[in-house]
Amino acid sequence: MHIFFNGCSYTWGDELENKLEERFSTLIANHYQAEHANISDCGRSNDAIARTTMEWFVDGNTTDLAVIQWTIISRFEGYDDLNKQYFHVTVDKKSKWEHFYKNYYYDQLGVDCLFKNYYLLEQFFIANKIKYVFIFHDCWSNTIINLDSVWKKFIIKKDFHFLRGMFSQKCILINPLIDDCHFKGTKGGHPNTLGHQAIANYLIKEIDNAL
Amino acid sequence: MHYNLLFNGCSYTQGGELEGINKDYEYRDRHRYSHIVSERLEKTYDNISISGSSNDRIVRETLEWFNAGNTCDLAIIQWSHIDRLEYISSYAKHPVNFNPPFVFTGWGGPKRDHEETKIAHEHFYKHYYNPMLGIYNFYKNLYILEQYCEKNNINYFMIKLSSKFSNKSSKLLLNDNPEDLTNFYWKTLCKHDWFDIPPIRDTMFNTREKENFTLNYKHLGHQFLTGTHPSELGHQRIADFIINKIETK
Repeated sequence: MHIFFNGCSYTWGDELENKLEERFSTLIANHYQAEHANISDCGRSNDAIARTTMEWFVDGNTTDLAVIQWTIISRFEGYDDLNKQYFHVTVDKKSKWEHFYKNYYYDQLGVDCLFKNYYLLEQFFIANKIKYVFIFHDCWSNTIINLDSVWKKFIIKKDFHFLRGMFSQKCILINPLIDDCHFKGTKGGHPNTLGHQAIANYLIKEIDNAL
Repeated sequence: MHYNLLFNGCSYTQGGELEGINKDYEYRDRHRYSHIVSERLEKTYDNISISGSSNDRIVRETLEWFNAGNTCDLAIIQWSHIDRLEYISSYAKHPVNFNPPFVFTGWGGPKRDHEETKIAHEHFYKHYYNPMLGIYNFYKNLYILEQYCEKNNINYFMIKLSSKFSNKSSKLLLNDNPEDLTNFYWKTLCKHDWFDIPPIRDTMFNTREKENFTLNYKHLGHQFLTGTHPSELGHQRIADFIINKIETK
């Protein structure tokens, strides 16, 4: 079996000491004794996750199962026409994109962008008979659940899985994967080794259901 | 509801300017190419096009039309300028279409909403948009539409407004030349290519012949009657082309 992973810094294993061994993609692949590819990168937007996923397949690669970790909805992807390369538009780069977030962006756009990309990849996987599991970054999960989106009604899998529960008890749809103790030892809010193990354990159950 | 034909597109498909200074929208609807095609072929049809549409809206509302339970024997989709974009206005939560020169609101939203949308529009084209993002977005929409139609066994036929990628009022003119383009990933996956989709302008009618266009009433104070849309004759020529394609198919 082959498993494909894509996402942002969470899937990349940011802040782990031995990320190649400790990140959840490796743990899951080891569990199934499967080959795997993890093409995630830090700072990626949902546009970039969809694009790089499709590029991977267009390059002639194939897989049995795709695990896609959607990221923070406020991130976008731009294109530098001069240098012919894509770049991240993110609130992390406040000085550069301050006006973008002040004058253009608001959550509805982020949610629409997320679900349009979700729909695209979902349709691609279904058409190519590839099993898939989608999980969400926990930021903005309230928004993702509550904001309506034109693309949301077209998607097939509507059971949303978030990487960690960080909302009030009112959010009963949330599936908390890892509690705060799993973040100890990291500085940037990324899961530590225990966090990745918890994500892996959760995803293995989801993958078992998907297979 | 079942129709033989579905038409969607921008003002060219809506029949922009055919209403004339008398604002006779019934006249417009009877003389636009969707009506001519359907009448000549003795088919029922629905035309859900909207003036100023972006390709985002065209795809989204085509899918929503089917999703609402409607069916058709053939969907005829007219692609618009690639530099247009659908934006959900932040205050009224209503979709509007961005076009480099202005925003197509299409509804009587509150003043605050217009102001905020205008700021977003200016910012988008000044700091974020470039033609590659427009092409990227076009192929993404094309891929969505193709996948949806293939999956749901919907016959479709596509035309485009112009061979140019963008509105002449923007500085982003790219002619039909495959060598100018990066091989975009969505493009690779699409069954069709921008260059294979027949353009209305200069393929279905000659844009140098004035009789193909409506009259210009701008000097009389009619802001949107500028003579840039097909006349009755122009629509007949578009209809001729489409009928020929349908019958050949």
